[in-house]
Amino acid sequence: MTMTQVLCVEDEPDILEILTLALGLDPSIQLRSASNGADGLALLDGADGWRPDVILLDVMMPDMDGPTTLEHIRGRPGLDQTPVIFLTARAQSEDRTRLLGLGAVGVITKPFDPLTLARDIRSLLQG
Amino acid sequence: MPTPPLRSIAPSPGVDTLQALRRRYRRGLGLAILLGLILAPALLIASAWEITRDFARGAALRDTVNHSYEERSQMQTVFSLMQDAETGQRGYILTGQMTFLEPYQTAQKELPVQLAKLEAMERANPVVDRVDPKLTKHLRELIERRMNGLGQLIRQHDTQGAEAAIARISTGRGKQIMDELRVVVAQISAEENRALDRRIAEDRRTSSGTEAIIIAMFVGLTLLLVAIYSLVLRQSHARQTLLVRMQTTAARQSAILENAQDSIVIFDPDGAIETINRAAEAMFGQNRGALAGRDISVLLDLSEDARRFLGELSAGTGPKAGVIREFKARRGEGTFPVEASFGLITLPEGDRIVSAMRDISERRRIETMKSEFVSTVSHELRTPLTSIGGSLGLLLGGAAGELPESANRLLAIAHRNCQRLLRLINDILDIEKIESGQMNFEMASQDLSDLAKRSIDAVSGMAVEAQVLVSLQTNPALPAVLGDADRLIQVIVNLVSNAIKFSAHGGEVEVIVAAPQPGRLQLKVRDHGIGIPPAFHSRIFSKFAQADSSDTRQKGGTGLGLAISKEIAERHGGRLTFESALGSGATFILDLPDLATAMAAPGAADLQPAVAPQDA
Repeated sequence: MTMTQVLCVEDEPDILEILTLALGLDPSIQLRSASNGADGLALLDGADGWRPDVILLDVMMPDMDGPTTLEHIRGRPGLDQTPVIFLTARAQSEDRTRLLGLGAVGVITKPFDPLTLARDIRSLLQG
Repeated sequence: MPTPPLRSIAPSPGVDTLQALRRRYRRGLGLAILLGLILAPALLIASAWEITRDFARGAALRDTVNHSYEERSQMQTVFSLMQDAETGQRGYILTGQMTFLEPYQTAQKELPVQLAKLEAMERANPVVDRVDPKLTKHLRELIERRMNGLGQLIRQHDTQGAEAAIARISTGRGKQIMDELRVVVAQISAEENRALDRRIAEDRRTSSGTEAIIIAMFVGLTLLLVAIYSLVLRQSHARQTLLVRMQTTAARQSAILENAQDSIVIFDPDGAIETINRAAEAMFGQNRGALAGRDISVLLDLSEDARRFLGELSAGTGPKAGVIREFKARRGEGTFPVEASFGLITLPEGDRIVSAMRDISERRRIETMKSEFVSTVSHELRTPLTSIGGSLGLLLGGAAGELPESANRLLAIAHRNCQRLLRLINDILDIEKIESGQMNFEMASQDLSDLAKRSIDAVSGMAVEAQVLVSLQTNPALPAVLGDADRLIQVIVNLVSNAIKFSAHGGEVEVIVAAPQPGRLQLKVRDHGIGIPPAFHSRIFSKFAQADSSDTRQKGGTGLGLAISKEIAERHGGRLTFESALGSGATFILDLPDLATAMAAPGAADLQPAVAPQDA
């Protein structure tokens, strides 16, 4: 079975927990998570040279928000084409359009359904 | 207890009264001018004319009288000459002295001259008064006969001697002629007198007529002057009243203008500022002295569109009074938003534009704050909801292992209400966007049948749970619509989920997409539920409207869905309506223009696709 490597960056610990549990329901997903943009970048910069298949990125985070984190991600080797999905509580269509304009493959709005999350991610990846 | 009327604010003299007063004043003035300038001079001229004529008649009468006296005096002269001639002749015959003949000789020379003069006078007399010409002729004959007789006697004296002459005198023939002559002279004199009397009597008659006319004219003139005086008096009173009313009106209007909270600026169609009130001075930070006569663009930052609007307003071709628009106004170096209403007034000296403006910076600030607040609160609420909903979902999904049935039921209640809270937050956010005019649409070509299908899919879980069958009837040849897919799906989901909620178990909800008329598409959602009570029809699209307040809780609605859906439909150039009979279900109809119609409609610029069609 091919494992899907997922990086999840979310500052809210409760939500991160739920994300972890929700994605844990899918045995083919291997998840690494970070509670802020810098930690997320640190995982990408790790000595193991880990590269995820998809990155889930929260938009509103202190210090370094989602879009800034995305900019940094894109500047790293081998990550310029990695699919990024934003997680946001701003559900309005103009927010969605703005985020898609930054180069994300999709936007998942909070609250999301944890039971269908993995499926939703896969369908976004298939685009 | 009824409130007693406030006398102090009883209605002021209305415009109608003022105009009636002004009309009456003008009419009275016209009459006074007519009387004073036309009738009075006419009467004066007529009087003067009549007096002049009377003077002329008097002069003519004097001439006639003079003439009559002169004529009679001439006749006396002729008769005296005749007598002198006779006396001289008698002296000569008695004495034989030649000196006695002098008067005779003088008469012989003078008589023809004096007679001719008398005749000329007779002829010069006005025809009516002329003495019978036969009498004058008789007078001349008698004089000539007498003079001949006197001449013959003198010659008889000289040839036959004094005795013979005296004997001839004694016959009395000469005396007879002289007597006849006296009678004729008396007749002529009498005739002259009669003529003169006639003339004087006639003149007296004419004069008394003239007198009556002149008296009548002067009485008329006096009456006229009295009439003019009273009219002028009345006019002056009316003028005074009018002036007072106008001053009152002006004072009232000035007080209204000066104390109005709104900034009022009056300018002419060329844009030259005429009047500004105190509020405007304060709002624009300029005093009226500095602004009078300057262009309105010193106060307003006029875009092309705003200039065109003002142009149309002044030309009377554009909107009429009471139009409200937003402008950017200038203060110091910066600008601020104002809401201005405009009206056109037509004055005798030309049209004026009256604008009442209100600084809406504060309102804008509050609107922005409210909008930001609602937005922030909504988003802040989503974060804990994500955790709660996520946890409940995971528990229900068995992430924590098998749970007792009662626990599952309670978790389901919590999860359902979590979903409902989320819908409420979404709807409040939408309503806020609608009210602040910030609901944006990403217009693109859409297949309404496809949107219907996606909407039905979205509520399929709910339909299964409610045991309601949702069917879709459509036609693949239908034209596309111009719309925002998410927003249209939001409307259809709202309509279909409402229909499911109000359907009985085992019921059916039909979704029908059709083009009932060229250029338009309709999506109908029909249920066979309890229908909509007539009392609720008028407020079904109002915010937080529910037929029964218990419905909100029973059906899990927010009471905002239809209000939002209607707004979305209208922003798409469409309509959302319904048909329902209590007890036999309800049909909601989303009517939209098709793509071609929407693109051709006025204001289509707002509907231009913001992004490429998603299916492309």
